[in-house]
Amino acid sequence: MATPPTAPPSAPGDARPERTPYSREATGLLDQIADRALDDDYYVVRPGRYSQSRGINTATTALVLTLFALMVTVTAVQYYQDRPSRSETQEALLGDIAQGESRQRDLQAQVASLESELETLRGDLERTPAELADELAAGASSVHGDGLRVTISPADGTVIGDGELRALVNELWIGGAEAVAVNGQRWGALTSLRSAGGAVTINFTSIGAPFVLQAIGDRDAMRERLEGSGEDGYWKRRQSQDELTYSVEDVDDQVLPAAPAHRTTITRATPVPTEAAQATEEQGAP
Amino acid sequence: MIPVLGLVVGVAVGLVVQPDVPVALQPYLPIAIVAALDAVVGALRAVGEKRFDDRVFVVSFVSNVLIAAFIVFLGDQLGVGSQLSTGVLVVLGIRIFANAAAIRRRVFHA
Repeated sequence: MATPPTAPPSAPGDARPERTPYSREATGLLDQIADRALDDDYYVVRPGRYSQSRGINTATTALVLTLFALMVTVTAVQYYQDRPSRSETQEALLGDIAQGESRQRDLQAQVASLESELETLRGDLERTPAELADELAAGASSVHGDGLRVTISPADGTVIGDGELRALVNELWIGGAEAVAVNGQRWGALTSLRSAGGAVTINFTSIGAPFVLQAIGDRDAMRERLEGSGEDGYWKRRQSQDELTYSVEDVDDQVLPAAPAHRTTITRATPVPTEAAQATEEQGAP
Repeated sequence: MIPVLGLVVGVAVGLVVQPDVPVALQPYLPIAIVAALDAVVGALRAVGEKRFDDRVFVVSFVSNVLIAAFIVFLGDQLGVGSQLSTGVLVVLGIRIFANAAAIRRRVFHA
């Protein structure tokens, strides 16, 4: 690569010029830089193998070295002085970031709470008294009132089946219960109570012992129905056999939550027009 | 040892006075230092080879610093400041390492 393309091929005897530090063919830019690292001037001024240095201990040399030391020191000092302000800036920025993030969280929480509030207010606005009554009947809204609480705590090894609980709930309905909840799961219009995988499931939620049935309604009527239907006797008999503990208590103003929305929402069934509505429609038609 | 005295004086003045570098000159200082370091390392090698000359040292030092600063200035004016600085740093870096290697060979014979 040192040979120019136009140069004739070197003859066998044509030895390359001697590689001296200050006069030689360049083999490549970087090689050249590395090989001629020492300024040529030193070789020009002090040629030969056994030269003597001159002027080391002079004021000029000292002056240049002073200048060099001053440059380095000044730069170092300046960098050292600038450094604290740099880290301060960084800390300030990090603080800004943290502050902004916390503000963002606050605002997001505010958005969520305002949205839920808006939802509540809109719901209140849109519902007529008739719709509210429907929701109440379907179990779609939480309710409170006086009623009974039936508690069944099975002993170890006793299994309470879904059918037994269903029968009990059924008697409560017959006895005039207006709202029923089992272990906090409200009985909605579409609620089922069944056994799934060895656990009792209501509203697609597994519940376990002890089973607490809450009912709002006429206490006397419900008690009468429980005793008259034999449910009361059945559970008391099992209690006497030490299989479980059974109790029916009066509770004032107990609160029953709303059934989950997916157990109160109707999507496919549509109301059949009543005769009165049909009549008005026919009259209105020409 | 006047040169060592000069080094000490330079460091001391820098620490005591702590002069502020004018903002306009600040971009040139780092590359000027590298250029000066090249001249100093070259001088050290020359001392080892017993061919040091104070005039050559002064001239190479001053010209190195000025040329390096000028190249940075030119690069800034042309909008290729960082590329030109990189080029200067590569060349000076190779020279510094080569001279340092020569010194090392002379001192340690390795």
